[in-house]
Amino acid sequence: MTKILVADDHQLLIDGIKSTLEDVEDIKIIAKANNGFEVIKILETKKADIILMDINMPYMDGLECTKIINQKFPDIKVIALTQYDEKRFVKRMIKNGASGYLLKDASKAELLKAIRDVNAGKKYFSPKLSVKFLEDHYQTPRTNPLFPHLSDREQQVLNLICKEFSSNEISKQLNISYNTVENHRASLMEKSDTKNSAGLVRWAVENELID
Amino acid sequence: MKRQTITTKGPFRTFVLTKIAVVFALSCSSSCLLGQSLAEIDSIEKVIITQDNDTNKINNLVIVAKGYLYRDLNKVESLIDDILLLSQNLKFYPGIADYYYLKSILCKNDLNYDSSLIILNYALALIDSVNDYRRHANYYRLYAMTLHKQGFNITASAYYKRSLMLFEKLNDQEGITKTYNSIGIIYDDAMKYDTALHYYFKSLSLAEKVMDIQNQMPPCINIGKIFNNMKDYEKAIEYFNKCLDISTRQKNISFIGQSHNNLGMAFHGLNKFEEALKNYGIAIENFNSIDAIWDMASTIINMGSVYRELGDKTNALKKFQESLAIYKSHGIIHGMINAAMNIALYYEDIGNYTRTLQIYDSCLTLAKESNYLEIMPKLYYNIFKDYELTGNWSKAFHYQSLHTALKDSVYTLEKERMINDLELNYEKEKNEAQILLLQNDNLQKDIILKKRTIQRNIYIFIVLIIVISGLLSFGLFYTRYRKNKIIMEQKLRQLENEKKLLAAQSIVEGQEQERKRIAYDLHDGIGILLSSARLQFSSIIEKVPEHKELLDRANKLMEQAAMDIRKISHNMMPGILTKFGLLEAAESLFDQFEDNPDMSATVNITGNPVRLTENAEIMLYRIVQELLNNTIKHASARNIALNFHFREKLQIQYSDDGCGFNLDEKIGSGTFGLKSIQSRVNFLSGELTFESKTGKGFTCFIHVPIQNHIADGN
Repeated sequence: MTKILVADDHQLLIDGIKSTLEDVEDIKIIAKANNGFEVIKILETKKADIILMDINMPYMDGLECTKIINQKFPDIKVIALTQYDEKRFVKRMIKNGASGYLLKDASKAELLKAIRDVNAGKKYFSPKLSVKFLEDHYQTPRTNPLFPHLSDREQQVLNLICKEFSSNEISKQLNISYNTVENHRASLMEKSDTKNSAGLVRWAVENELID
Repeated sequence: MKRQTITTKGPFRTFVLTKIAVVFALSCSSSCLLGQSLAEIDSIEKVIITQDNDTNKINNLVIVAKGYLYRDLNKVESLIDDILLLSQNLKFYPGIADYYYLKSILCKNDLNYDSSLIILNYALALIDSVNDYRRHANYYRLYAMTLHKQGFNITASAYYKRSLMLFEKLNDQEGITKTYNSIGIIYDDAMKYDTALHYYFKSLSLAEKVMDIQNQMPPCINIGKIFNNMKDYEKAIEYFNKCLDISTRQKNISFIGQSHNNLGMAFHGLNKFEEALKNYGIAIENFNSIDAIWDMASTIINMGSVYRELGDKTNALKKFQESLAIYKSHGIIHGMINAAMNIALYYEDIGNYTRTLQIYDSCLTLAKESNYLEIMPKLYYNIFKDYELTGNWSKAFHYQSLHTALKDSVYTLEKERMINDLELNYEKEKNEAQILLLQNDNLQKDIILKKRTIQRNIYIFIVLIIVISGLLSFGLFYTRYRKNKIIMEQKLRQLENEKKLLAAQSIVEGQEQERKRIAYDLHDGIGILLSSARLQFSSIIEKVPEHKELLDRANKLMEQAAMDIRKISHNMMPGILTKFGLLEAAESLFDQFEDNPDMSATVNITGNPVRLTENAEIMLYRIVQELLNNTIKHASARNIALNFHFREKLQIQYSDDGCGFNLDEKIGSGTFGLKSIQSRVNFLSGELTFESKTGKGFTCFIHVPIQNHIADGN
C-alpha cells in the first residue's frame, strides 16, 4: 500500500485527487496539508511514502518544503503537482529533491503512472513539460556574439586601455588621431556608465570583455 | 542913545522890561516860521483827494497839516487823526512819527513844552533806526525850538547845529535857512549880537539866493531888532520895511503885524512917538484879525510904554490894563506878570508905592505858582529898588540879596537843566550801547541759528542717508525675498514633479498589483477549477468508455482552456518573477528560444547580483518583456543578448542583430512601446539610451540606480 500525502492550498484540488484515487486499491491518501509547515508537522507523526506537492502554497511553498523533506525524511519521495510548467520550477524542484513533476491537469492514468514509477524508485516527468531540462542543466553557456555592443575600434581601444596604454600611445598604435581615441574612450565610458579609465577597466574585466 | 524905556527909573529895570517884551516878540517870529504858502497847500490838498492810500498820501497830509497849524487848528486835529490811522494801517512808522511830531508842535504852541518834548521823543524813537535825514532834521529843529522856549539855549543850539548838519546833508535850503535863523536867535538871547547877526545874515542871504521869499521875513525882522538894540534905528527901519514889503506881498498878516510892531519900536527909539503909535496901531489891527493874542497884547504894552514916555499916564495905564486883561482872559500868566509889572511902574510913577509893592507881591506869588522863575530876579530887583525908594533899608537889602542870589541861581538853573540834558544824553548813549549789545546778541543768535540750520541740514542729510539705505536694504531684502520666492516655487514645482512621479509610480504599481491579482485569480481560481474538472473528466473517461471520443474532445477543450489561462496568467504576472525574481524570469523569457536552432538568446549576469524590490523587478521585467516583444515582432533577429551588470548602478544592455530601424522616425512616431520603456526607466530614475541603424540591429543601454530598490533581507 502506497501512502500518499497531498499538499495543496486549494481544497478543490485535494478533493479532485481524492475522488480520482478513491478506487485505486494500492494507493491510499493518508493525509492532506495546506502548506509546507503542515506537511512537516504531519510527517512527524504519520508515515507517508509519497507526497504530492503543490508549489504555490502560503507560509512555506512546495520548493522549500521539498528541500526540507529531502533533508529530514530522505526516504519520502516528492512529486510536484503544479500549474507551473516553466523549466525553472522544474529545475528547482529537482534541485530540491523532487522525484517527479506533474502538471495539475494530468490525467488519472498519468497520475497513477507517476506514483507507481516514483514509488519504484524511478523519476517521472510529465511529457508536457516542453523543456529538455536535463540537457539544459548541463548546457554550456553559449558565447553570445552580441554582447557587449562595442564597435571593433571601441573594442580595440578598450583592450589597449586595459593594457595601461595612454591615449597618445593608443593613437599611435592604432594609427588614429588623439581626438578619435578620446571619442572612443568617451563612448566606452557612456556605454559602461563609468566615469574614468579605472571604472572602464573594471567593467571590462567584470564582463570578461578583454582578451 | 537910550534904549526904549518903559520906566524912567533905573536903566537896568527898563532894560529888563524891554527885554521881556522883545523876547515875546522874538519868540513869536520864530513860531510863525512854519507857514507854507497857501497856494502850495491848496494844490497839495487837491492832489490828496485823488491819491490812493499809500505813504505818499501820508507825506502830503503831513505837509498840509503843517500848513494849517496857524490857520485852522480843528482841521489840523482831523488831519492828524487821518495821518495816524493811515500810517497804522500801512504800518508806515515814519507816518506815525510825523503824527507825534505834529502833536508835539501843537503842545509847544500850547506852551506845554515838557509834553511837547516827551511826544517828540516818541517821534525820534520811531525813526531812530532809519537814516531819515529829513525827519531827523525837522524833529531836531523842533526839539531845539522847544528847548529854546524852555530856556535851555545851550542844548537847543546843539540840536540846532545837529539839524543844520542834516539839512546841509539833505541840501534842504529852506531847512538850512530856518535853522540859521534859529541859531541866530540863540546867540541873540545870549547877547552875542555879532554872531547872531552873522547867522541872521547867513539865513537871509541864503533865502535870497534860492528866492525863498517866505523865509526872508524872519531874519529881516531879527536883524532889524538887533539894529534896534544897537540903537541903529535907521538900519533897523530899513530891514523892518523890507520885511513889511515881503509880508504885504505874501499877505502874511502875522509878519505884517510884526513888521509894524518893530517899526513902532524903532520909531519909539527915534522918539518919533506918533509914528510909533501909528505903527503899533496897525500892528494891533493885524494881530487882532488873526487872533494873535500874544503879539497883540505885547504890542499894546509897547503902546502903553510910549504913552508913558509921552507922559500920558492915563493912556499908558489903560493900555497896560488892556494888555493885562487880554493876557488874563487867555490865562497867559507870564504875560499877566509882565503887564502887571508895567502897571506897578505906573503906580511908582505916581508915587503909590504901596500899590506898587502889592502888585509886585502878587507878581511874586504868580511867578512862583506858574514856575516863571526867569522873572524872579527882575522882580526882586524892582522890589528892592522900591524899598530903597521908600527908605525901607532892611527889606531893600533883603531883596537885593535875593536878587543877587537868584541871578546866579538862574545861571545854575540853566546849568542844572544842562546837567539833566547831559544825563538824558548819557541815558540815550547808554540806550544806544544797549541797542548795540542787543544787535550783538542778535548777531550771535544769527550765528547760532546758522549753526542750528547747518546742524538741521546735517540731521536731514543723515535722515536722508538712513532713508536711502533703508530703501536700499529694503530693495535688497525684496530681491532676496523674490529670489527665495522663486527658489521656493522651484522647490514646489520640484516637489510637485516628485509627487506626480510618485503618483504615476503608484498608478503603475497599482497596475502591476492588479495584474498580479488577476494572474492569481486566473491561476489559482479558474485554473484550479479547470484542473479539477479535467481530473474528473479523466475518471469519467475511464468509467464511461463508450463516450470516450466525446469526452476526449471535451477534455481537449478544457486542456486548451487551461493552457490559455495559464498563458494569460503567466503574461499577467509570471510566477517565476514573483517567486524567483527578475533574473530567473528574464532567463525564463529567453528560454522560449531554446528549441529554435536558428536563434540564440542568452542572458548574462555579472557583478554582485542582488534582489530588488518586487515593484522594481516587475518594472525591469516589463522592460525586458517589451524589448523582447519588439525584437520578435519587428526585428527578425538571429541573436539576442541581455546582460545584467550589478554595481552601484544596475547596467542592463539588450542587443539584437535584427533589421534595426531608423531611430529618428520611430522615436518621433512613438511606436515600438519605446515610450513605455522610457517612462518605466524614468520611474526607476534611470537613464536610457538607444542605438539603432537600419540593417544594423538594435541596442539599448539602461542604467538604473538600485540603492533605493534593494529588497530587504538581501
